[in-house]
Amino acid sequence: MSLTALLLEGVEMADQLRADGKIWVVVAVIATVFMGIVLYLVRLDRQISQLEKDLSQKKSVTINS
Amino acid sequence: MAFMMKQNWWKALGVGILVYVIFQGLLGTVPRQPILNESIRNVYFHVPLWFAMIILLFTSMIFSIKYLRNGRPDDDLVAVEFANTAILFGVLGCATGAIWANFTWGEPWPNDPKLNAVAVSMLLYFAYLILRGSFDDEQRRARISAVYNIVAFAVFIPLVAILPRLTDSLHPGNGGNPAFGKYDMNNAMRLVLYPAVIGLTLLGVWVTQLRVRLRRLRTLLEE
Repeated sequence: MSLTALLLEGVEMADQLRADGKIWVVVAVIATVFMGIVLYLVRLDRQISQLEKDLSQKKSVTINS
Repeated sequence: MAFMMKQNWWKALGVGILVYVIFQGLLGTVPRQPILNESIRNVYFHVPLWFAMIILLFTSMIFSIKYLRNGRPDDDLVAVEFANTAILFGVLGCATGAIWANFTWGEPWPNDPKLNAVAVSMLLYFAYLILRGSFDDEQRRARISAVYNIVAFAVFIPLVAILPRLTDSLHPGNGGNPAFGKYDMNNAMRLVLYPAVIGLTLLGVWVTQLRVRLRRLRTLLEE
């Protein structure tokens, strides 16, 4: 083993956290937060789409009448 | 491009990519580096903010050029909203960078060429928003801020991407080295970082599109 490899072995990482599988707790929390924000964006997108539809219909009605 | 905006698959693609980034970014293997330790994973979440910001600002500039060419108010509206999302990413980039720097460089905002350049750039774009707010005449506002937006981007790129490279910076890839040299990153990390840039950009375009559509509705109602 080279000297640098030997030195790098000593670099402290969250190995125990991973070995315990607790890293999944962090992954699950962040993924949940992210999906919550995405769901919020999806709902906002739908509401704007609905508004666009309503307004374009109203416009065409006023033009035709 | 325009017909693609009406569809939704690219939004799902962006979200899917970002879910992959969260999983692979936290679970994948990373180089064991002293000082950085596990915080090297911030590369997946802090760096893409800046890349996405640059892409969004570039798009904003394109729409400003389009506005100056044809004078359609809608192009000006799109340009502002791309800039707005980009500035949000920039603020988040500053905040995440400060948190990370506090642990690896010892203080949240060290005196570093890259950080100084970013501070100037952020002020440059805040000034863009203030400039827009200072006109009553819509056509004047659109025209002058379009010119400013183009100049701002032309100053922004050398400031953050070229000048820090001519001196020494705490950021990797500065001081003459190409970014992401072999000592900073390995291929496994690139397989997360580059998707993260694409995913975050798509998310930024989505947010921008929502705001653009909302603004269009508002102008439609005002007519």
